[in-house]
Amino acid sequence: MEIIQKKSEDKLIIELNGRLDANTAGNLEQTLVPLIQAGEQYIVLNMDGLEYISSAGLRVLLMSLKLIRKNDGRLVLAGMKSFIKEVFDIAGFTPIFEVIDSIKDI
Amino acid sequence: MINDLQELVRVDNFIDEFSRQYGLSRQISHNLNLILEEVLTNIISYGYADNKEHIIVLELRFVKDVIHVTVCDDGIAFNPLTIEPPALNEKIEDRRIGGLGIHIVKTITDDLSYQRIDDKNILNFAINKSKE
Repeated sequence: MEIIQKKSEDKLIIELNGRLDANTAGNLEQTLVPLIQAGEQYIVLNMDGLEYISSAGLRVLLMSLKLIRKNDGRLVLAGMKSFIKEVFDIAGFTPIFEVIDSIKDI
Repeated sequence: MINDLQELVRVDNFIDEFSRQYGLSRQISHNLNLILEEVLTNIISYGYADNKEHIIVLELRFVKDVIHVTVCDDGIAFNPLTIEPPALNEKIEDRRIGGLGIHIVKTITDDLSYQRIDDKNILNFAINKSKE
């Protein structure tokens, strides 16, 4: 999986490309957790290029959301493909996350 | 395949090939991949009390628009059907991190069944090709 960070004014945009699975979820965790612990309060994950997510990926997202909310921060998920949205729905994650159709909607 | 998470890459390639061969939609191919990852990750991560190499056997059959899958392993007995579903309506502070894999598998498979035969776990399930 490719993880690209871009700072844009008050927010940090992180582009995720490829597969977020049992083998790659650790990479995202190692990226997100230190950023949030360092005080990053507004993170947008651009999922336009995300092709796959499994429970290992969901786990990292939930953990990151909990951490950032403790700091009164925001974690926004943008551009989910339909089959990724379906996994979110099954997991009951859609109502707890801030989800937007596209990165352009920010 | 053997009990190593790196093998999931090979499984992924195998499913891509299988999906091409039988003209499966992107959605079905994705679901198949997801179910197998969840099942195999559980077996590889929690199924063995030793550090030895074990063989996990995957069998995929395509019959009359239905994909039938069997996963067989010689790990400790584990029946995913007995696992309680996670509490999906809890507030974020109360949501537990983890426990979602089996719930996903139960939701997107048909006819999920488990047997323990000759010290082996045998998991069977089906996915309908035309199901969206």
